Amino acid sequence: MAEKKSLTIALAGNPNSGKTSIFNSMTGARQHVGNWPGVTVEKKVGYISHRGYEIEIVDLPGTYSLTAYSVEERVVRSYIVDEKPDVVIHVVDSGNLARNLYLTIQLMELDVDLVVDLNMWDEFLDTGAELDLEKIHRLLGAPVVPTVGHRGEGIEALLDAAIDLVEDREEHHRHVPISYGPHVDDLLVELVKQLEDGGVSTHGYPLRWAAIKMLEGDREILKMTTSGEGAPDDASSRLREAAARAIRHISVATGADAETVISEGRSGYVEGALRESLTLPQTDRMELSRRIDNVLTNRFLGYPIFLALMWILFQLTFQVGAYPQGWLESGVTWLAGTLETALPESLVSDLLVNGVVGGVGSVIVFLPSILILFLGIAFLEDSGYMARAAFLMDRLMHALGLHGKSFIPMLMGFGCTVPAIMATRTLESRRDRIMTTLILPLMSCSARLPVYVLVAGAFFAERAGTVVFLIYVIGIVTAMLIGRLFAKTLFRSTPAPFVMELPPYRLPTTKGVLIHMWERGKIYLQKMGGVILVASIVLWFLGAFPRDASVIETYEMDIAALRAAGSVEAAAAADVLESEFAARLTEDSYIGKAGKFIYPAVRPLGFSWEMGVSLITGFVAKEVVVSTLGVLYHTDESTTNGEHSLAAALKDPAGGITPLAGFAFMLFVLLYTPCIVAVIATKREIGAKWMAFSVGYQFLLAWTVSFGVYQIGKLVGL
Amino acid sequence: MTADPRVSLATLNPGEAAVVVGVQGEGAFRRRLLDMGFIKGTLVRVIKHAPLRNPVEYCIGGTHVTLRLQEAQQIIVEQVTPPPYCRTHDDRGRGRRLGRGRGRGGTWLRRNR
Repeated sequence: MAEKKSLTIALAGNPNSGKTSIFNSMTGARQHVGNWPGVTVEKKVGYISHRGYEIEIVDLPGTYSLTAYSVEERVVRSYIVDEKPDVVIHVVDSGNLARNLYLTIQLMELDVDLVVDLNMWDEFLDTGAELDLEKIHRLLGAPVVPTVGHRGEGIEALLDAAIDLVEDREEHHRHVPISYGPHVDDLLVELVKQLEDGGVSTHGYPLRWAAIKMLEGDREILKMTTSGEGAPDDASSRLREAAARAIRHISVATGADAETVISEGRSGYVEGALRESLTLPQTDRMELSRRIDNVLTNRFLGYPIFLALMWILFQLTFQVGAYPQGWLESGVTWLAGTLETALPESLVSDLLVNGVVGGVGSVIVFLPSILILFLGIAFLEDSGYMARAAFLMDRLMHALGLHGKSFIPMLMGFGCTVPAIMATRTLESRRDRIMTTLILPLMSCSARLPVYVLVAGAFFAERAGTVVFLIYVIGIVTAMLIGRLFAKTLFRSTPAPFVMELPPYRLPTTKGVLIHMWERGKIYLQKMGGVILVASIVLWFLGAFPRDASVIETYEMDIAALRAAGSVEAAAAADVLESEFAARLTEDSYIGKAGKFIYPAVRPLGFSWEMGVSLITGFVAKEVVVSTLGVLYHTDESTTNGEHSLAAALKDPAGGITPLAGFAFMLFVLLYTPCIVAVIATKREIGAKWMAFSVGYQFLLAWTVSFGVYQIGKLVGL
Repeated sequence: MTADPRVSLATLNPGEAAVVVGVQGEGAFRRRLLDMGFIKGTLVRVIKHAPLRNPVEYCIGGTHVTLRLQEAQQIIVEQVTPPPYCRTHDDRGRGRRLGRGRGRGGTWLRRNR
């Protein structure tokens, strides 16, 4: 056929099965990342063509099972029955067949056209294990294809197998019904019959699967079949009774509850299949990981190494990142200068130079640092160390009422709060997600760093580094206190269990790490392209308008007159007048008015009204605090004697800002509401109500702490 | 004390191994453990405790899984002689003695049972 046929292939699999590497190998960078409808679980889709087919590859969330307990698992099963992908490829970690095939069984029961991808086949062979592919194929009733995802080996064969399956469905498509023992099997037959007879709709789920789920006490399926939603009333009440009776029956007959019996049935089937086909490995594949862990999670070395790794990550981000950041800064300055000279002086050129280039430029310079941080995090994740970090940190995180894994988003929070909030998705319970999202902004994101650098540099000179470090520590300590407070008040239910796999250590691939990094870096870039650009323009407008024509005219005439006079004194007077003019314009602008309006609220913290304004505009993005201060203090990017002119303006005694006030200001920037993008992300992840709470508590916290520090500091004479 | 061989997984020391008898508790938590392979008859071995004693790393079905002690408490096991695989730190040079003895971690972690 000349016309291209389309095909949808879904990738399912356990976390740590290398599913992502298979997806990346298949699709390369041609990925689209979105959300599953209605839930905040990442949906990745890629498009490729193979053997004349246009194939849509859907990466399903990584799961161990298909219960109703987690969002991810519900997404997987409802996608499979609702969207009916042509083929489901189950990516399996070959080194851990028993647990992985447990999910295969459940996928088979969903009646999908299944291809089993035996991933990490190289590692499997290295352990000296052998698998009879022909036999396992027969036992599972699904084609099996060995692959090495991170090297892209076997990907073609995998796609071939999927297409073969579609082209001659009949030949392969045979279901191997799993027997759960005579008791359960009989009860299942009975339930299926009742479902049929009662005309109950299972919304596309196979009847036997639905019956199994009913025995497992699956709330979603029980609701669907027995609530009267999918069936006439009498049928649903009969079903409810039948299910309850069956569950009782099983527990009497076997001495265990139905859920356990069914889990055991699946495991038993897998075990049987493996007994026939698998020759056990001669070496333990965790051997090397275990040795590495003797050092990395050692009771004495674990924490020092962990701290050292975090320190290295930090240094790489901020020290190494400073070089490209410097280049970008000069680039932005050059662009602004070129535009300024090229364009005639007008409001439009002012908008371009100071609004657009200045605003976006102040954010884009942090991109290198952010990318380095994400690169480091991707490396730690892909290597398997992140799970160890969670293992090490769980005791501490648990004390805050959080999960060890919460540590990962918290760490990312030092880069950018937005992707960090998105990373809370790796947490299983909603409670943990909400709590982590709430205290995460207290991890000082990199956008706040320029503020610290400016203020600390201005007021604390050589000790600036220590002061900035102190700010970071204060953020962490505050997060701990707030976490404890929330755990004791708002979230008194128990945190999620710490059931987490420690995958074997692996050397991450360049491609995998880069894709990982790019996925997150892109979010940061999008933030710049969209929100920051708009915000910069709005901000510029608020700073430039309203313009009182008569005031402008008076100043311009006076300045022109003085310049015309030609004398040195007159020129100096003109300069003074010019800066007065600029100050007047800003003071009269909307921003100036807003700043004056909130001044009474920030004065007790020792801030100037300009600082108050910058805090308002900082809501757009924390970096904007610096650029706003720059505008309000009539300084440019220039440096004199190695000192930023803005820093000089800030610490000018005439401004009346003391080092103590500077410190209070840094605290305020650390603690108050994160930028609008983070707020939007918060709303998306945990809902509007919690978003409002997040914004409110942080504002209150920032004000209280800054107030306390400034006032107490003043009392003790700082 | 009765001679019931069944104990909770939390009472085992690093290096020791046991066979799962059953998982207590309910709902998502219990199901999760079942899905991770904590099923009757499966062999579990304690690998190590985190530096602050909690959580604990276990080897089950060839994979390493972490649990907090309060969660391990919900898993009822019967202690057995450790298998040659799922080795722990203490195995080196101590070999088979582990089954009877208590590893170095054991002394360190001794708890009143």
